[in-house]
Amino acid sequence: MHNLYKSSDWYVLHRLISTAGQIKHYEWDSTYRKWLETYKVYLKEIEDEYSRMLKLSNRALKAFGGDPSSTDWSNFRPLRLSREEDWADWLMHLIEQSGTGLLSSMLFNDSNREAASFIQPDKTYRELTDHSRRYRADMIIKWDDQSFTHIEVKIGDHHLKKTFPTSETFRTQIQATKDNWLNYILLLNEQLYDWECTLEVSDPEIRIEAITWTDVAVALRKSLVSSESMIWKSWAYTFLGAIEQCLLGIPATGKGKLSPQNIIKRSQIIKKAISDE
Amino acid sequence: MNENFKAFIDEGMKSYKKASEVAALFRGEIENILKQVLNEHKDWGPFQKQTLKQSQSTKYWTEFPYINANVSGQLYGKDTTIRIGINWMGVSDDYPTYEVRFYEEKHPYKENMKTFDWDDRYSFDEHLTYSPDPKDLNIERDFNDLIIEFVRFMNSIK
Repeated sequence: MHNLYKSSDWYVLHRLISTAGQIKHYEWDSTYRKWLETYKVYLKEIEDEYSRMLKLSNRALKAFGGDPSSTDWSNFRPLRLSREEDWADWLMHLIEQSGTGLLSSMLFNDSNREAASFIQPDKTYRELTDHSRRYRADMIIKWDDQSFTHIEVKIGDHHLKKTFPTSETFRTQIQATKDNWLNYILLLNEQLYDWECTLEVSDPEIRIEAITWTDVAVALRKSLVSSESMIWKSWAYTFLGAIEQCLLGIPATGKGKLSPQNIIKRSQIIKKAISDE
Repeated sequence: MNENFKAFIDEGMKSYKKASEVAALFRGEIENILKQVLNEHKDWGPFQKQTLKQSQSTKYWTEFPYINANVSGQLYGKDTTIRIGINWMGVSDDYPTYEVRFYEEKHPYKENMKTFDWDDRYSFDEHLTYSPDPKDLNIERDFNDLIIEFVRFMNSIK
């Protein structure tokens, strides 16, 4: 547990402000001190909840040595962390090799299909280039029922607008009907606002659903306690550790103090993963 | 370097991180409360609520924080985003004002807001605003009431 409760903590704000000569001492006592005290109590509650969640996860993932957050994945070389293509490769591998279909059914929940229908797709395409060579699709999956899922993968790339012509170009090229074709864009949470702005100026006829790497983390955690094979789980475990630490920015537990917001972020991911919904 | 200035900077070097942490946690939790209000409010009158949009709160600890949540939908066939927000800008004491507004600067029904007969509890100056009673703070209740008043306005348009 981090030592956030030392008695001198409230002086932090006090001294900062009082040295600026902007606030009198009695004002400090009646306002900021109280706020910091309530902060400390609330933070304790958040940290207790985090410990509880971590404990549950450590127990559930005991076969792997506990929660992936206890290992530092920030220099994990087999996954080239700066390359969007590598993240997409790993994700596609897990989608292709899933024996439960749980990962895909959680991510692509638009279609209300049974998880089993996402097991072993009929065909998958990575980095497919269109006939005109103007567009490249990150991931296209053809399922057994002949429907398609197209996914564009982003780890911070600002070029979101091209997703619309890319989606339509490949749907036409593959000769899928609109009913048989679903588009997704996989984003970092902080890209969601840019995506909303893009939506405002894009073709409303082309529907693209945004999902986030947080959604992937939740789905992977859920899959790790499913009946997936051990080999699948070991890839997923590694991928999850790298996603949470490198893409979501939540450091390993032993690597310095977690900020309150990162504590909340990881708690919520674990909580969603262990919920029955 | 002026002595007072140096003391301020030196102290800030040590304290800024913690101060920012407190402010960031507060902002995040207030955003969550506002999103929950938008999610759970049932009666939107003629506004057909679709999806929650990203908050656009001031991201840094500036002097005048503004924390908000946004919901998109359709109002009489027009794409509309309604924003609820807590604003510390322009207030005379420590407490903020609560506001509800059309997010779009040139929303076609914005003009109608100027002439609407708002309930006396609220004031209108570009947006519909409410000054909460510091002795009786209840964010959910006050925003739900504010939305009810805004729905009354939207109902009156057509």
